[in-house]
Amino acid sequence: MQTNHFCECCGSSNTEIRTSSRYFPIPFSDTLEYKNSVLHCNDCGEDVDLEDSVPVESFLSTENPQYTEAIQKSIDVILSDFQQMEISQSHIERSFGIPARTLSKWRNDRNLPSAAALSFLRILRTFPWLLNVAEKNFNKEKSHRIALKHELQSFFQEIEEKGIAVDTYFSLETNCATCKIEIKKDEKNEIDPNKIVYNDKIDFQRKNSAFKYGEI
Amino acid sequence: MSRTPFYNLKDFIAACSNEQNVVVPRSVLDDAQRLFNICTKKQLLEAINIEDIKIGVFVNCNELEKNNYKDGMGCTIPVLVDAYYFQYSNEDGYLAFHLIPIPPNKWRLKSFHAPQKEALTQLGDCLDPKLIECLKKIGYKEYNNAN
Repeated sequence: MQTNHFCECCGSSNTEIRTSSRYFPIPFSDTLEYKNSVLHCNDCGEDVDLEDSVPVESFLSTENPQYTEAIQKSIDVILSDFQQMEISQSHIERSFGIPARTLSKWRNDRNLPSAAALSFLRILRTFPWLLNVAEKNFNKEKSHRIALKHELQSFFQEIEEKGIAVDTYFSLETNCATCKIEIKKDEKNEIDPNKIVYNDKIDFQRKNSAFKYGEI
Repeated sequence: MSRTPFYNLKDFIAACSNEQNVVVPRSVLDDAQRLFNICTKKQLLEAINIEDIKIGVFVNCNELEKNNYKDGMGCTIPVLVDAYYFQYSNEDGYLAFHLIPIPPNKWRLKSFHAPQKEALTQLGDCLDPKLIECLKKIGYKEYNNAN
């Protein structure tokens, strides 16, 4: 639809009103499609949201049933994942000092948690080892060691899955700790655990083609 | 291309306090969402206004290429665009803005994205090499096409 509006980006009057979509992926849930009217410039190609369209802030709020549904799904998925990881809801509540049955209320009573609580769930789902950090009462040194241990586990798992083509040097870093690792392969093109050098007291052993990790 | 900014950066930052003062095209919002999960115009302008997005090194000042702004005589009104590097959440970025030359004279955030290699090499043309050395000492990273 041709308009009398001028494009604010380039000043052209060769504009038209279009319906445009933006996509908002909700973590651990669906991607929401937001449709609104934009002023499209046929000269510079830019789209600018029209002021009378539904604000995206309203779309991404609990005023929008579609958004609420996606958030609820996100909580269900996260809590199911914890169940699969054999992390009980009471374990999480106990470790983080959250009132008992809070998580089950979020799931069963369909009461949406606050935005901060939802972020907490997403972070914990992404980094489940934060549970161990909470168990150590957020002790700085122990927390960094837990983080480092987790990163190393992921790292060696990746080595096992993908293999290493050449002698390689790695440096793993967490916020406060760095672990430098040097890996060399032997004549049989296998990783020789005796040639894994690291600057931290972490005990690695290779057994049945899988790395076992000593306690940090 | 000019080596000095045309606009006062503080004026632009201050204008970001009100959504009505700044035009943010959809392409810029898409980039902000993709790069930093900044989803709305309000969030983006607020981050600039309260300087969570730290606008730092001036890159250059160029004429707006796609310019259809005309004066009363039908002549094109030249528009200059200032470009800067910024830092947000330990990542570097590039933004460009200009003042719209017709009333109500809003600002337009023209670009907001990761620094492009070509844009970064331009920095070497714009700045005194001694200044670049000083910037490197305080953590500025120089990119080039070989990287």
